[in-house]
Amino acid sequence: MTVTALRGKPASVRISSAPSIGTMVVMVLFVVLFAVAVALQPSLLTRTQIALTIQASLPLIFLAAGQTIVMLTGGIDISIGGIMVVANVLCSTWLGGPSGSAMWHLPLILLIGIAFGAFNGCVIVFAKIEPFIATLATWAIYDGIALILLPNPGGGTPSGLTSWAESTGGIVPMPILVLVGLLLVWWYARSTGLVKRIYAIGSDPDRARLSGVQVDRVKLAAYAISGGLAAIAGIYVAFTTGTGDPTIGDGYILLSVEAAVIGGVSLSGGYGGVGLAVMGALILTFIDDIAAALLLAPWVSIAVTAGLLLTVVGIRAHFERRERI
Amino acid sequence: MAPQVETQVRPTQAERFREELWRWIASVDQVVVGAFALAGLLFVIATIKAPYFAGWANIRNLLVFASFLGFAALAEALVVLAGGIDLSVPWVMAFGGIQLAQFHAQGWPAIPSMVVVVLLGLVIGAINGVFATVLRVSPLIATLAVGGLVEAYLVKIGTLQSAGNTVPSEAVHLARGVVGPLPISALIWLGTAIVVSLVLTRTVLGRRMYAVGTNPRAARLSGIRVGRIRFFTYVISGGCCAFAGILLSGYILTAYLGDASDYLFGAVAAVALGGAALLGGQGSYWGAVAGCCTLTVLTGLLPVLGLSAGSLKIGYGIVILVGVYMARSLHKIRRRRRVQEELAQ
Repeated sequence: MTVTALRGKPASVRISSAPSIGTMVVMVLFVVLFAVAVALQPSLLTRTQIALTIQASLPLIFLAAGQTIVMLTGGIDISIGGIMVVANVLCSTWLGGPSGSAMWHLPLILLIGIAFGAFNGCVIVFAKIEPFIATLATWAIYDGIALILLPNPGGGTPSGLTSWAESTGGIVPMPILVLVGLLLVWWYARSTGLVKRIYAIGSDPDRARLSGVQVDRVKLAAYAISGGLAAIAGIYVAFTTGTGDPTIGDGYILLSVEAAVIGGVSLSGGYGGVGLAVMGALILTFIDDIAAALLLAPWVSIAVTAGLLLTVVGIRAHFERRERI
Repeated sequence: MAPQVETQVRPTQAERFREELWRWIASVDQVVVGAFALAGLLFVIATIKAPYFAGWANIRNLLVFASFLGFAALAEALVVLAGGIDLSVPWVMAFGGIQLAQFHAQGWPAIPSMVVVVLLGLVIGAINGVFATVLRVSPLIATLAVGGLVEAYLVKIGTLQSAGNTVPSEAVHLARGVVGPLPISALIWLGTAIVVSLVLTRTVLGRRMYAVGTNPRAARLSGIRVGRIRFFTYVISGGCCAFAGILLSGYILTAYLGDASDYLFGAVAAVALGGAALLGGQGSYWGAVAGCCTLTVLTGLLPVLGLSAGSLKIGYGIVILVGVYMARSLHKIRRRRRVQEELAQ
């Protein structure tokens, strides 16, 4: 134990390091795919189109951001699909419908998401069950709660908020503002002690513990943040679609991991960031856009996404060899 | 404490038998017993609510369902034991059924086409293995992406709809047929479970799998080819999943993409319920068998207790949490006792 602690690189090095080969691969990929998408569909560069693209990927972006925070600690969060649908369903049933007469419930929904995330953290920290299994079980629980609250798609969200979330006009369209807001929050959060500790326990838990980081508390916080971001994703989907649907979460679970990993976030913890995960999520969206623009058969984009995942991660594994075994 | 036998007096046959039996009882894994107890508890609850639950017809049905999950969990158990994870399970299972239906439509005879499908499953497993071991992609991502490639293939051959996907009657017989009172699929499952547990406990290969999962670095230093052992588990996993897919398609009389989507996390949950640690090196196949029984009985509870789909899911989650916690605690107690015994000697 102590031997590995002594051999590990200092946690702080990785945060401020220059872009590694893995990161550069993502950036090149992002630019190339964006260029291809624009070349195929020049209208993609208009403000409205950019806003629409971002709007379509925002739920995944939020989920991938939460997944990144958890992956930085070396964990994984399967339950975000469940937390997302609970928030989504609550939005459609709890805010007073299209009139929005009970809007004050909105912060409560966010708090519920954070509480559910914190519960994940408790199970992982106190019952010492691996994150994969623990969040798999809580995912079933949260999904079940959502199904009880709203067995079939339906309900309604405040129409004012729907038009707010859907508006793609204006000087700076709404989805762009939301994305910029998320990135600004992350830019600020990076310098906070909590996020530094999250990186520290991800790169070397023993070293972090020895240098006084309360590993359990930090982990718990990471899962709570992930729960909160999943709730935001669910709320955002409820606003853009105007209704609630207890089945939307399942597809996002592994997709969020894929987005984070394509963005270069390490599954073993300590490496990556929300900015990279956002890029990963947008890359996944571009692939679908390009496939749609070229009128390709549906199987092509599935195959390309899978192939890309293998290529990007394979290249990274080849160059970095961070894990020898 | 096993009774000590005097060296001078030769033990009688009965004494020797009793000693063997005692030793065997002492060696039974409490984790596995606990996992089976959980399944038994759920079964008793169901029977109290609805006596027909303990009827043979129902038990036979449960056994059939458990055997589908059983093969998926077998796949997962071996991979997890050696320190990996396989998320391609549902796609390879769907592949097993759809490819079989495809061969059937092209007029292939049933038995060879089933063999070919299982062989193709092994090939998919080998692709998983190449990425996860040779190219060192993290197993979670490698198997997820290979699952995506399989999905792309299935979408391409365009059998999304179940209509028209008929499977050969031999596959139906395999999944629904009975030998005497027992369903064929459950018998195959039982046979496989016995073989696998013997391989895991009595052969060099099995011990190496544990070694690789427990501490890959130590295993490598003691001359075990870690990558090769892991590669082997992925290959077997692919074949098992394809076979599970054949059984499933035989049971539902058709095959479509997504018919096995519940098995993605179901297999992992069954393995964890049986006491396997996802980091590898821990657990036995009998534990996974118990986990399959638990999850199958739980699903069977839905109509008995008149639960909604939502409350069943909540129950599912709670049982996984409680079961896995119990298995971990039992494992800890067992290990502590072993250490104490070794210290006492």
